[in-house]
Amino acid sequence: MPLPSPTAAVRPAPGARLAAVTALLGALTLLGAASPAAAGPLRYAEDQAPGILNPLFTTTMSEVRANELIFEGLFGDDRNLASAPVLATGITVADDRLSADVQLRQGVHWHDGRPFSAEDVAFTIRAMKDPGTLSTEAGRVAFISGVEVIDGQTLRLRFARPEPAPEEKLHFKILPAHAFSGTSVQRNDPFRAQPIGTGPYRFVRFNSDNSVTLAAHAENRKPPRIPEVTLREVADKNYQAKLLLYETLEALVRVLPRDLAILQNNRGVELHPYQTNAWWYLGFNLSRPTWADPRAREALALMVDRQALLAPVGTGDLLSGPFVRSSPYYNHEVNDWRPDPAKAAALLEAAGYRRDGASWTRNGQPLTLQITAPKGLESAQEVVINLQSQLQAQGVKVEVRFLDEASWKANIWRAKDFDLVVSQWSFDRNEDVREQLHSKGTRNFVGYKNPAADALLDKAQAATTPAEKKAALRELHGLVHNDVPMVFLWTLDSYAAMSVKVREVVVHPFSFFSWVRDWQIK
Amino acid sequence: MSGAAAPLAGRALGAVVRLLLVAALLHLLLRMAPGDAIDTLPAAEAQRAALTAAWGLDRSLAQVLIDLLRGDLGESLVVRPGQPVRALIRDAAATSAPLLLGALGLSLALGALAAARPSLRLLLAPATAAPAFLLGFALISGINELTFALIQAGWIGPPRWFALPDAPSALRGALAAATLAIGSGNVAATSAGLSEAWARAENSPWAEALRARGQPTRGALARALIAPAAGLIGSRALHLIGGLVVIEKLFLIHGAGALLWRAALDRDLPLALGLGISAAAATLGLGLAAELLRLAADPRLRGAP
Repeated sequence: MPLPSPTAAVRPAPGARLAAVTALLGALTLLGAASPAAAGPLRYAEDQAPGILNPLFTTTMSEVRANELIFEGLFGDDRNLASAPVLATGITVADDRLSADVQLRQGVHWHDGRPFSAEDVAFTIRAMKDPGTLSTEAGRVAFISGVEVIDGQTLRLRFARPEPAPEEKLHFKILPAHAFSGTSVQRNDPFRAQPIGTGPYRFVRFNSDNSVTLAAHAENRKPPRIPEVTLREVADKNYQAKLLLYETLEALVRVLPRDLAILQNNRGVELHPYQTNAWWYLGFNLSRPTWADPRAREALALMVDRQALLAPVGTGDLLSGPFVRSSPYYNHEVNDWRPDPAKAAALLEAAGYRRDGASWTRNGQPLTLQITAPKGLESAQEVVINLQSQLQAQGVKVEVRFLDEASWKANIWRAKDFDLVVSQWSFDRNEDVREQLHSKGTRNFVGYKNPAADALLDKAQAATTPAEKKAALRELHGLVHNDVPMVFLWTLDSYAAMSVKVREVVVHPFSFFSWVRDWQIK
Repeated sequence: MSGAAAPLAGRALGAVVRLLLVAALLHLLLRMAPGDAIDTLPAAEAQRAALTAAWGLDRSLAQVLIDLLRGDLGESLVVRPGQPVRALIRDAAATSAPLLLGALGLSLALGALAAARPSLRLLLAPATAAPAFLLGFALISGINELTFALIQAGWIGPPRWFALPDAPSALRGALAAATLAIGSGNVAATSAGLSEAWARAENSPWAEALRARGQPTRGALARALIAPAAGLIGSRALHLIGGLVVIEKLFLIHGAGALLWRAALDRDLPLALGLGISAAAATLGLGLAAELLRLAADPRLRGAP
């Protein structure tokens, strides 16, 4: 059903309608007439407002998206997701690939009017690398071993090892050197609440309702066509879709699967599909004897009907390895796990288990596992409950547990107190799975150790050509699939929803607002 | 020291001691919770030692208490990094205070009305039996769904205050205060307390004497309720302040309750500790104010002949 015009006046109720309804309408009218959405601003919802607007300390996706509006990198993605110059105009890589000269755009100004220069880029890299900064983004510049300002518009980068395509890694946001007193930047630096960038929008203010107001910065290349953007905190996701329908928002970053139908059927709203570099997985605790046995892991993989788990939480692609299907590193020759209860039973028997009535047992002890999932992971509850049901139907006793973010890190990452986790990994354009799968990876809490996998990850890291990297990671895909440290589940289709007033919308799969300059509101 | 001042001074001193005990207990509870503020940051494990020192996560309980006695609540670590906890609490309290005072006023008004009219008590009974979160959820969902249906039917345009949780409005504030007053059990407790006090006053010898002399009793009876009402405020303040967390989360009010929830989830130790202590101080302050009012209203409590 189409929405009524936002300026529509209250219509008189027919006499036959109940008096109570008439009284209610009167009350509603008294409380405030329609407030038509202004034609200009773009208001979008986030579950949580950014706590800090400094790209050195980005911790949430809400901050990633806000940073995309305020700041720019040397390079960004073009519509084909290939690296294209933004603050740079070009890059000249040395023959040995151990250094590169970056030419910068001229005539760019910061939001406070000061000119942008090579000093700002050098400062940003040094600040990220400065041990005193404690930047969570320091890993993004680990490949840079040195930076030298040649002149105002040129700088030379030196690399720790040969870099076949350094521009792919030069997407991090650039900060204004003049806003800081040194390269050791603290999280509580006043910049966090008064950020200055070169991006399409300049920060105006934090509002008392936790919203953030941004205004178009028209001075640089290609001014944005939407004059104002407001980030609104709507913590209750259940209301985000309704607010879009009520026209108090123009954009939703991600639509809940259950809201898709109602939004799809509304003529005032348009859905914009996009695919993220994020995948769900079941991760085994390989340090526990039960799951150290690959037969038990494979049996569990064969017990899981992933399609049935996926259906209630949305649509997407089932995966056989640690990359999304659209990735160049995805190995399409590796077959997916398909439910096979008979083979699962045979594997468990080979591992020493016996079917004892309704349960699998070994040495008189029932096969029991605890599934843990992060509380904040959207739809995890449905997945875990359905998984519990699937496994219990096949003789595995299952308990479930949900943890908040801090407890997750403490219990899962550090204490390794888990049997099986249901979780998701999200990646930026580099899809670097080293930290998850290398035996020394900081995010390898499942405890996966395979020298062959380490060698392939090292080979991918040291690759001097994209083809070499692709070959190594595709081989890794097959290896990890066979080792089953995780059961790879799926990548979900994501949908942004926009008011039809917002035109020319193309959504970036990770940063969302990368092409916001082209958006307009009619 | 006069007869009334001595116990009050004793209460004030006791309040300070209790605040320190609350601070110590909160600190220990927050430290016992799994994980810490560093766990809420991505890729920060390698910097754990440096961040622990920089953020003072290794401070002893004694150091924390000394800083508190100096009035130093520190800075927020995660929720609003770098912002002074004191300023964050001040801003959040400014948002929560009208809600709290509104709920207090409503508790007294509805409680007194229900005490005077048993039929109203019956009418309120289903609502007072419901916990605050259920009452609030039913209110928000009911009103929003009804209004949305009216918009969809074309009977009204989207009103300015709609949808309820989205933006500050008088309606949202009033509903939140009513939910807090009723859902926290304050209306029921106030009604029962005042009803009992009214009956006690009505059957008291002085009321009978007034009636025997043919003098009006209503005004004297009403004044006799001030002291019990003040006592009720003091004893129920904790329920109202505790209820703020749920109500502010439900109605998306960015006050002290919602901030405390976020601080606890993000393990923002200084902020959570500051808010917890402020809540305890507010509870004790309200209790103390209620006690003063009670003493002022009833000379017998001051030891007067």
